[in-house]
Amino acid sequence: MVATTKTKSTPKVDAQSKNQTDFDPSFLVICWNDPINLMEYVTHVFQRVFGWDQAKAKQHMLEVHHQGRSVVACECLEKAEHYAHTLQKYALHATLEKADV
Amino acid sequence: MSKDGLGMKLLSRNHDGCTFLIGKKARRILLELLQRYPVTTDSYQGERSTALNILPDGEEQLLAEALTQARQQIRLELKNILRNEDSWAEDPRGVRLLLTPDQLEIMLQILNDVRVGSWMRLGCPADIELMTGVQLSEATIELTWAINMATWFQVGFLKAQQPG
Repeated sequence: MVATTKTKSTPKVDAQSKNQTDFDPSFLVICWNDPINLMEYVTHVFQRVFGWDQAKAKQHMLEVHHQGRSVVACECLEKAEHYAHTLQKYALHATLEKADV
Repeated sequence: MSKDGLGMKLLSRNHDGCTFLIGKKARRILLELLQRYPVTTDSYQGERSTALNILPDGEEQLLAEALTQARQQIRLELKNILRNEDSWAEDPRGVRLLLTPDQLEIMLQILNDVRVGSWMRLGCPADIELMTGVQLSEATIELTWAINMATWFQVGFLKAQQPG
């Protein structure tokens, strides 16, 4: 991953609206490009976290690399948080974004 | 590979894991890198957690705690790998390192932490290959060395996992 991409600002969600949206599959998990993580490592992490085959993982890695970001999941809030946290544990830069429904 | 080699190669791979032959000098370097873990800091993790700014404040704290716990778990796993004599078999050419798939995963995460943490300490240069803007000093040379060596081992371990 070569180019640096700044994080898109996303508004905070208060506790009440969080409860309402807990189970809506309306949260995007976005993985962002960064200059430090190896392309092979990002592919490996996608395979581990999402259970993808190498081709799909590589496709998303290249999307991150060339376009600066890739939507790697669209889930309810709880699952989306889980995925984002897991990617962070691997030192990847992941954020959540409310999907336009 | 010479007896005090500076290289590493994959000897075998099966369902139980991968066996690497690591030269004596390379082993010293690998151990030096592993012992640095963790290099990424709490503040770094905090910056990452604020990137998830959709979370209520309390959950950001939970994330930070979860990340700390994950690092503690990795440190424990690393200790087990380093202490396990079955993992490190002496060889005339160096050492045979046997890693289960889970241990290999731990190694990858540790080496990546060393890379990312060292890069952060260099001031997050945008061009990781040219390191543009990094001042020349003993500290930055040492951090750059750590990034490059961790990359070398990480690529070797990643290749070992690939089919074919």
